[in-house]
This record gives sequence, C-alpha cells and structure tokens, in this order.
Amino acid sequence: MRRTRTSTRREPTIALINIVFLMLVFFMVAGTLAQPLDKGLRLVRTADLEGQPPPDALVIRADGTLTYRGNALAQAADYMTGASDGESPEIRLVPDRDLPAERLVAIARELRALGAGRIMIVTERGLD
Amino acid sequence: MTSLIDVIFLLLLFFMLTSTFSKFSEVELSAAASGAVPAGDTRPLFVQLRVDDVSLNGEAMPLEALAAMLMDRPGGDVPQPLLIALSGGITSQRLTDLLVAVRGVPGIVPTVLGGA
Repeated sequence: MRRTRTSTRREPTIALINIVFLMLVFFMVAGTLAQPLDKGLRLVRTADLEGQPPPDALVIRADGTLTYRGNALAQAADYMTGASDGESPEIRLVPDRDLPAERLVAIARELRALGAGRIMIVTERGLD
Repeated sequence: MTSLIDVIFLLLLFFMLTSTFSKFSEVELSAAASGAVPAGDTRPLFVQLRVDDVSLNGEAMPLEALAAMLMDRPGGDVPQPLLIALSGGITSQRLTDLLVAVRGVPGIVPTVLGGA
C-alpha cells in the first residue's frame, strides 16, 4: 500500500511577517494612544481650530449625565475633588453635541465656583 | 521564527485596539461667574443666540455674518465684552459654533450668560 505523499510545502512565513510588520508600523505611526472616551458620545464638530492631544477629561452625555474615565459621577464637584491639583486647574469638558447649552453653561459655572480656572470645550476637528 | 510572529502580532493587536484616529481641538468657554459685574467702562455688545440666527444688539443676522459685523465695529482693538445669551433649544454644537466664530475677532471678550 503506497502512502500518498502529502505535499509538505511550508507556508510563506516571511511574507506574513512582512504584512503584519507593515500594519504594525502603520498603526504605531498613524494612531494616537489615548484614554477611551465614552462610547456613543458624538463630539462637537469644529473646523479652523488648532489640533490638541487627546483629552483626559470630564464627559457630559446628551442627557446631562457626567462620566469620567468610564465612571458615572453624581455631580461636578466629584470631578473637582479628584482633579484638583494646583491653584486654579484648567478644566476640559467633552460635551455631546446634542447637550443643551444651558446645561453645559450651568456645569461650567458650577466648576468655576469650585475653583476651576479656564474651562475648555474639547471638540472633534473636522477635515479642513 | 514563530515566536517573532507572535510578538509582532501582539504588538499589532495592542496598537490597533488602543489607538484613536479622532483629531481633537478645544475652545475656551468663558461663562460668567455668578454675581460678577462686567468691569470696565466700555459698552458691552449683546448677542442673543437663537436656533436659526443670532441677533447682535437687537439686529438679526445669520451666524456666518456675525464675525464680519464684529470686525467692522467702531472702536477698533479696545477690548470690549461680548455678552452671549442663549434662547431655548440651543445645543452645545450651536454654542461652540458661535464661540469659534467670535474667537477670531480681536478685542472681543466673550462671556456666556446662563439661562434664566
């Protein structure tokens, strides 16, 4: 009984490594490492602003609830106690684009009363 | 050879899952502190932001025309406060559009007034 010779050609390992290496280099160069923001958050779109590094900031959802690093916060004061370093820290807010502006201004005022310095709105830069 | 592939695969996976491609930028939101009185003797400008247009000192105009209107104001580069009032139904997107439009005008100090 003749044993059927299976063709034992090796897979093209070098080619595989090359492709994977190319993808690795692409993601290392093109991407930015950042804290993930809230899922389902649609950022305010702007153009004509300078680029900024990805923020690590207080997220305000469209219904007005606050989250920071994935944890829900009951009120804005909780964020200030966690992030108060320095005299008047610069606070970054990441609002959803459908958040009512009154709520945003109210939160900003609350933070200002708690000792915040400049309050910045983080937006998503459109292609321009 | 196989271990090399494993390590590269792991690195690839790490960078694919952690990297973000969004580009961020930021604009300052200067909300008036409650009880603060606008200082200075210059007359403030008053903008009411509505859903469809804005009104500068009572004169309605589209949002795109506001920056040009502020550029042409008399008084030049003297810092002049700009009070921004919000009418109902304004989203953060709309407010940010206004702040970005006003930001390029020299000598304008915008302040967002809270809703009533």
